[in-house]
Amino acid sequence: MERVRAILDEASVMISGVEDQRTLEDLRVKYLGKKGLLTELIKYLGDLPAAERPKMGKAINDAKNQIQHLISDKQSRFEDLSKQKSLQKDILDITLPGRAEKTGKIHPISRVMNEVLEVFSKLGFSIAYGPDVETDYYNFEALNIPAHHPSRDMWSTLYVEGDVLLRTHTSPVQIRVMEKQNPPLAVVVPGRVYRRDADVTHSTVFHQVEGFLVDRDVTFGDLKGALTSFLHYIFGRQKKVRFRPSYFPFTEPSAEVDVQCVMCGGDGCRICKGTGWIEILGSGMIDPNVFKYVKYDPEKFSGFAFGLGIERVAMLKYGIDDIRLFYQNDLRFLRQF
Amino acid sequence: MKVPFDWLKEYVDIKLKPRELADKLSMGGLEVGALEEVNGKVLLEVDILPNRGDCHSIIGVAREVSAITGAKFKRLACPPKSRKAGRRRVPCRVEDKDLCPRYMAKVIEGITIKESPEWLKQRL
Repeated sequence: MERVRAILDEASVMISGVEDQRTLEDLRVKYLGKKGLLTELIKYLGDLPAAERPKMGKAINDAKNQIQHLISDKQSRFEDLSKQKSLQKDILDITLPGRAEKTGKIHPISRVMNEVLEVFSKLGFSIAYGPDVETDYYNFEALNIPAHHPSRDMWSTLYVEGDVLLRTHTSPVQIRVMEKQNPPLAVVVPGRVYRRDADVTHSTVFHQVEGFLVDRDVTFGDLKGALTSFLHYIFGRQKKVRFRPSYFPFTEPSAEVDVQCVMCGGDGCRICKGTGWIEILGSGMIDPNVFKYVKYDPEKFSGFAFGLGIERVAMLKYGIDDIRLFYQNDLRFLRQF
Repeated sequence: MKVPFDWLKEYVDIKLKPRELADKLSMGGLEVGALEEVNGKVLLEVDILPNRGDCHSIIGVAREVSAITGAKFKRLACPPKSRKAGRRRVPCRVEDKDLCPRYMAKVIEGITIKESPEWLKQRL
């Protein structure tokens, strides 16, 4: 009997001192296993007188249960501890803001183009598109730019083969629209254009928005009104605007439209090259010859046309000094928009 | 075309400052794309469009300035030493009167070919 008590006491002490599950398991085997100390005692039950066997058996059983209890308690204690430990490790500060998703951004060229199209849309223009690869007829001839005429010098064209070329402006689309629809019309044409020209402010591939309006009794005053509104929308109403005489084969009279230098306000600087003005638009009243090509009666209808370079406006708006930055796909540049 | 202000003044009386002249020219149809100062000299960069072939020279721009500002145009006298018909003749013949309605040629004799003087190099 004392033997049982001794084992039980010993076991309690050992178990309470256990630091890890391995040792705990070893102790379980030591006391309760197949060759465990208590299990061994059961063998000696046979040596006892019959009357004492049940008492002894019960004592051994009780001891077994107690030890088992101590072990399972210790075991659950271990489990609690490890659970706590892992909870500690994974502790989350739920007051932290969520992790933001990486979103894409609109390219500055697209941004400016959309802004320009929006202004003209507000002024009542609809939008048309056309092919990048054009024919000489639509890009030049129908715009009153005959073959071998010195005015062709105004564009450094990239030819593909024979009559096929890369369009130098989006004006050809105006012809395409006028061929299919009758006036009144107010259309803007955004798109990519191509010219043999490359330096800090010129790129062989760039973007334009050109437009036209045809109706009865359209005057130069209407042209001035529309374009002045546009420039004031884009650059602000405080900036002065000026129209000066110019030349395009498809408009007569022609004008170029400047806005007061955004950098120096008209005093003269590097951006406006000392003149105080920055040219934004080319424009004019549509030449009757152009109407003849699209079979509009020039006696009945008149109209105006205009065009601008998107890169130009974007460079002014965002203070970019090298046009090549738009096309290098450098995230360090693009991220800033 | 780069137009030095001084050179322009040799052909027309300009009383305006370069900036004012640039503005007047631009508003008159000859766009002054840039106004720079190079080596202490004022330079106007004039964008000449295909419809104004007459402006493709300093004299041409001077004429335009005279027309716009009303200033006096000064034709520089440069008479030949002698107008007598020389003995040299250069044969010319127009092959296609449609493509070439008129052709003019003049023989100038007594020229020495040598390196251009510095002032001319500067101007060019």
